Amino acid sequence: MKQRIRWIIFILFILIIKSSPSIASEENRFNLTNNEIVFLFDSSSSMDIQDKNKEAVDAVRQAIYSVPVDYQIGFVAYHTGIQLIIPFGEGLEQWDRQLETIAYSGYTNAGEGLYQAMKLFSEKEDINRSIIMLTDGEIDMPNSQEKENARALYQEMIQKAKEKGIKIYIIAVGSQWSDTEVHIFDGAEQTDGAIYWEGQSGSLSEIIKRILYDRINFPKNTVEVAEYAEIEYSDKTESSIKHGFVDLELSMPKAEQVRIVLLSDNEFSQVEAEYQAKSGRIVTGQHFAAVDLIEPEEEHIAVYFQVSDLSKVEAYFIAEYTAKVETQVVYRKVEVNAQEQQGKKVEEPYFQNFADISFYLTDKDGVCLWDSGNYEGREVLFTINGVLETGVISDGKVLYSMQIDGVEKADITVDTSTFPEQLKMIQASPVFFSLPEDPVIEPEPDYWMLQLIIFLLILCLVGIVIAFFRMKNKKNTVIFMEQGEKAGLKELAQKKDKKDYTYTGKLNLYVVKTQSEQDIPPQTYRLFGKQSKEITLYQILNTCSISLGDIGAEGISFYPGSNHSLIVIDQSEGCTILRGMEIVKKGVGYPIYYNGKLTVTFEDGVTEMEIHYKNLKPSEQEEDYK
Amino acid sequence: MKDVIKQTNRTMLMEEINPEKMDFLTLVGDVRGMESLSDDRIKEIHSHLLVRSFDEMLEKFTPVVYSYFDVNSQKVAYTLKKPENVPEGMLTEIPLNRKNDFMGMLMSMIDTKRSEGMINSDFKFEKLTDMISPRKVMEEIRQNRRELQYTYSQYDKLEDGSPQKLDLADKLNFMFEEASANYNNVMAMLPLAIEDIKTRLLLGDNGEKKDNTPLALGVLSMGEEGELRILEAPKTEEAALTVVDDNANTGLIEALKNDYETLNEENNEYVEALVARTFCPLASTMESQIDREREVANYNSYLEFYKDSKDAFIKTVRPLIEKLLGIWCYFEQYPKKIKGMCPSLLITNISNEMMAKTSNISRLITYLNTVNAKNEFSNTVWYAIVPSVSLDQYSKMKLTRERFQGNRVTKKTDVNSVESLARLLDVWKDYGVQCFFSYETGDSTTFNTLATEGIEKYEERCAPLMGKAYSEYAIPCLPNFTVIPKEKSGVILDSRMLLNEQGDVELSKEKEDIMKIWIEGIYVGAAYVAAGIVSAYQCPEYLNSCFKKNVDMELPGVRFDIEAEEHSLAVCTAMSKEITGFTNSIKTDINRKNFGFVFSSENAVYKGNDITNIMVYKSRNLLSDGYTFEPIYKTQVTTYVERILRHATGDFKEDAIVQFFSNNPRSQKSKWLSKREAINAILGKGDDIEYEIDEAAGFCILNITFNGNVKNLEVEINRLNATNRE
Repeated sequence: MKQRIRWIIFILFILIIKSSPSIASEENRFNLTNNEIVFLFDSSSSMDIQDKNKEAVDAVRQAIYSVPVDYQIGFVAYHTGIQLIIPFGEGLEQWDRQLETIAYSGYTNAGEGLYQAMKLFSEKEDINRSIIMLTDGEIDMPNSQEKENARALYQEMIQKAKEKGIKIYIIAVGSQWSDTEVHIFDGAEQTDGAIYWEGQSGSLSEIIKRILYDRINFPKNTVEVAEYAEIEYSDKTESSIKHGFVDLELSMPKAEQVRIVLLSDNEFSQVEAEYQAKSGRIVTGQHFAAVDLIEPEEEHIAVYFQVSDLSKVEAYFIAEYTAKVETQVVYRKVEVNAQEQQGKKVEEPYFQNFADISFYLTDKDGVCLWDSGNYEGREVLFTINGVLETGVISDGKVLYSMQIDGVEKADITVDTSTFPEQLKMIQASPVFFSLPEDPVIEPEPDYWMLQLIIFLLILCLVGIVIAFFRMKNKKNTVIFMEQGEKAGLKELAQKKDKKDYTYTGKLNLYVVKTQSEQDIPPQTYRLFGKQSKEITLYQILNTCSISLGDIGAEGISFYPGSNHSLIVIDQSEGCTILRGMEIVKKGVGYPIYYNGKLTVTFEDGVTEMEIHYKNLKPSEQEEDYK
Repeated sequence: MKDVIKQTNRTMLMEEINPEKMDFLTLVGDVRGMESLSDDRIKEIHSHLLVRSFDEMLEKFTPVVYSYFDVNSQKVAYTLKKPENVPEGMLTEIPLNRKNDFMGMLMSMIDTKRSEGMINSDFKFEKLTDMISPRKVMEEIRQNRRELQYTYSQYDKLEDGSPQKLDLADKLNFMFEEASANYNNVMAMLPLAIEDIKTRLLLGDNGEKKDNTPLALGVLSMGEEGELRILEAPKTEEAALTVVDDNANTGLIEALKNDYETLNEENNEYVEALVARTFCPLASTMESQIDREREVANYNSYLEFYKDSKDAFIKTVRPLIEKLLGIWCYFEQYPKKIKGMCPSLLITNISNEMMAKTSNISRLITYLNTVNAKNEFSNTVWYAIVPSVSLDQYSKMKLTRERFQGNRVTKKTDVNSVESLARLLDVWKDYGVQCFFSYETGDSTTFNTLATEGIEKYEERCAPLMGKAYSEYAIPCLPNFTVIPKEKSGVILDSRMLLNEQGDVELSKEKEDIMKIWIEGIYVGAAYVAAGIVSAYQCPEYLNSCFKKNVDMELPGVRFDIEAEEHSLAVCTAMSKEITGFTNSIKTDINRKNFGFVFSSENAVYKGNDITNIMVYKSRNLLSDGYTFEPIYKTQVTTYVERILRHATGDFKEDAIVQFFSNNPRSQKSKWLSKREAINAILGKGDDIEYEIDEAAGFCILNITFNGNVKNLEVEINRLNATNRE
């Protein structure tokens, strides 16, 4: 018995554990935390040999231009002392200016460098912190005492970093590493970081990329790089340079900042960009190029460039937005457990309360960011009162229904980590439910006579309405449309609840032949602006003062159709209409599109006219030429 | 871009040249149910109607005037349309080509005036109008006769069968063929007969001899005592004369007589002798045996008949001649030595009135749909010419069908109504065809009249065409060019002959007896020259020949503004000056209104050389903003840009439009901007082009800036996805 109870408790325990949200999985899914990175740069004189072309500086520049806005980045360059400190919050232009001042000189005081780097970090909680160190060798000072002090300080700072959960990634620059067992690498080993060797692990640019995207999990959205097809290479010299381009279409409008980064082993040249933005900057380095845009006004951005080998070019982009979660609630009641016996309810009706909660993201101007159509059908992760749910975006919103009996509020948190854009989220305030009153159900009296009278009245009313609409021109005209090569006819009911099609364009009328051989000047009939109802050819001729007599024009009707088409129906007795070379069958709707032509032979067998359906430009729609 | 649009100067001429030849409407055919024509049909139309030179036009259309003799009126009648009730054998076709004396005279007139560089008041028109007088006809015959005699004498000397003789025989055959054109019909023989009688009766002294003593031929001899005396020619002298005459002439005479008899079934001795005398005269004493009275009567009768027939001929043929001269002037604007974008002319060979009939307009629309509404531009029509528009600005189209052209004195029947022009313009505007039109020719539309009256009357007459959707495509060209002014178009044929009291023959000195014909002035419609010069400067090679530098050889001259800088001095017409110039007040008026495509006949110097040709002063269409009329190049640039854009963007695909106008150095806009400095740049200095896409309406609006003034072009875009559609 006790064994059985233990088993039951164990199973229950397992079930409870499984039903509660997994904290670990939440952390993996939800990447709402900020990041702080400090670059620790060895600017000793030996770097002048190992990194003559200052590729290490270029690699740092590449990194800073790959960083999203909410990533705090800092920089410390050390030699015998400290050469340069760039704290968090500096603009990238300032970074460029300051990095240019780096000169390789002096000894290697990594201890002081690491100390200053640690001072740059904030005291905020829930921050991922990393140090990326670029060095070409061991700590070295003018004398042994200073060297020892530096080493001790370095070791102390490593310990502190470990306690704070700061990871140190070390990039060993150059090729002068004779011994892998060097103290400088303790930083990586003891903080659970990593060591990279220039050359063995790739070029400095590649190493930086791996640290940022693979280790620190920088958001990485790839963009396709293509060759610019219109370039013709006339000779061999020109073909050594390839012309590439990157075409980016943002999913959401109103981005606050967009950055496109191009990476390559080779140098970029002739980098140009097409965009509409508040401001924009193009920056190039030895192995990268970046286009930095503030508040782009259009979603389309194109970057053109030249490089010697297009196949090795990678492109990423970061698009950053500020998004706020907005919610709407609609309440409803569902009647349950109402049983009927012998026609009467035997129990009081019982109502369950539901809330249909819809939420969506807006920008700072309140415009819905999911309205653009690109998000339609996309899944969104969110929690509601701590429970993980998945919703699908439909018509710019996610809809979630829940029973709210006994529930005071709904606390919604939206996860946008799966979105390619970087969203600074302002989560919605909790929704406090206010339950509507249950309807009071009064006992039903026996009104069978009244019901009968009402039913008969309704029947009469329906009959009157049907008769009314039969007499008037039907708003809900049914037009049988010709379907071209497809067999059969398809019914097209004119839309009632959605907007009707409207007339556009104009008709040019040419009376080609008359009984009296009279020459009637060409006429134009404007359709644009006309009411969306049937227009007969007779009405058109009348308006144009063309009098041809009773020859069947009344039986030819026009309606507006979709895609600016004009639907013609021939219900005359003896007229023949050609749409192109095709004879229009009686009673069937045929669409004509702009620049289409109808040839009408009237009932008298002699009178003929051509009708050309033409578009009106916006300026022509406003003007009315006589 | 030169590979995309190879020509920007195909012109359509709305005129009838030869009603017996194929015309545009017949070739297009019934277009019921058709929105465009097949390639084969287009090829056929062009094989009949498209010409690239004046001579090609003559070859394809063989303009001709028909003549027949009316027994009742005893007159010769001429008509441009082949009479339906006259049998072929009774009808004579007179081809109007370079060999026609009238046509030849007029073309020589234009050439001579151009080379002399004289204005109308100084030019001696009578020197050239004289070319159609019998005297001049005879002079030409005399030249031919000399050559014929010489050639025949050489031929006669050679042995039969010798190769040289065979060669000379070929030459003689050709000469006889040319000569037989004259004695093949009586009309052609008339001027020869007139001169022949004069020669025989007046011995070629044209009647100025004062002494009316009858002439008796004699020989100079010396008497026994050495005194000089002229003795009457004895019979022995006749023999001597016949001995003096060599056998060659006898042979030639026999050949001529045989040829005449062979060619004419009904021959007579008089004409036969006339032929012989004309083409191989003999010195003889036969003159003393002529029936003078009869010959004088014959002479006067021939002269009168010749005058009446020439009058009738000129009156009938004048409209056609003016058209032919117009076509000639159109091609003359483009120098023959340049082999670039040669202008081409599609002649509809149907009257404007017929073309503009509602029943026929759909054929024009179908044709233009085929050549102007595709991304293939080799056959695209850019211009049209409508000359001879009625000065009655409210003129309507004729509604009844004419079967015969009657003699209407009060109303001109060979003018195009303004209504027909308006109908055609309404069609052309949809296809980007700019129409050069000019008013009916006459002395009221010349340089002289413009210089004295100004342009106000033209502006009034164009009022019904302004403020319309097609106004941009209507270009009024003025003034018309004068080939022969009305007041200088009298041609003296000769004077009547009479027998005086002494029985001698003399030419009458009375004014009433001077037989004179009035050509009534010959003019060339300004539209031809305007279209010709604008077509010419579309060619970059032509522009290069004028400017020598700063011309891009890849670009057409669509943006070339002939009004700008000194362009009108460098690019001037091939027509010579007519007047000394416009007064300053007239020029101020023209400059203030900026109306029309106006030619000027001014004194000017360009790079040290005097300009003796007529220049273009204004080049504007009828689109007005209320203050000024728009230059024609803007319309053509807009049309050109639209066509290039459609081609490059695959019918206005939205993303391709963005790329077209991007700042990328490879974009079309950037390429145009890089050639800004060229005279024929598409986007010149001060020009720009921007675009806005109206997603809701599905249109892209291009704002083309010309020196600060913006012109809009709207194109319907090919949207990216269906959700944007209704």
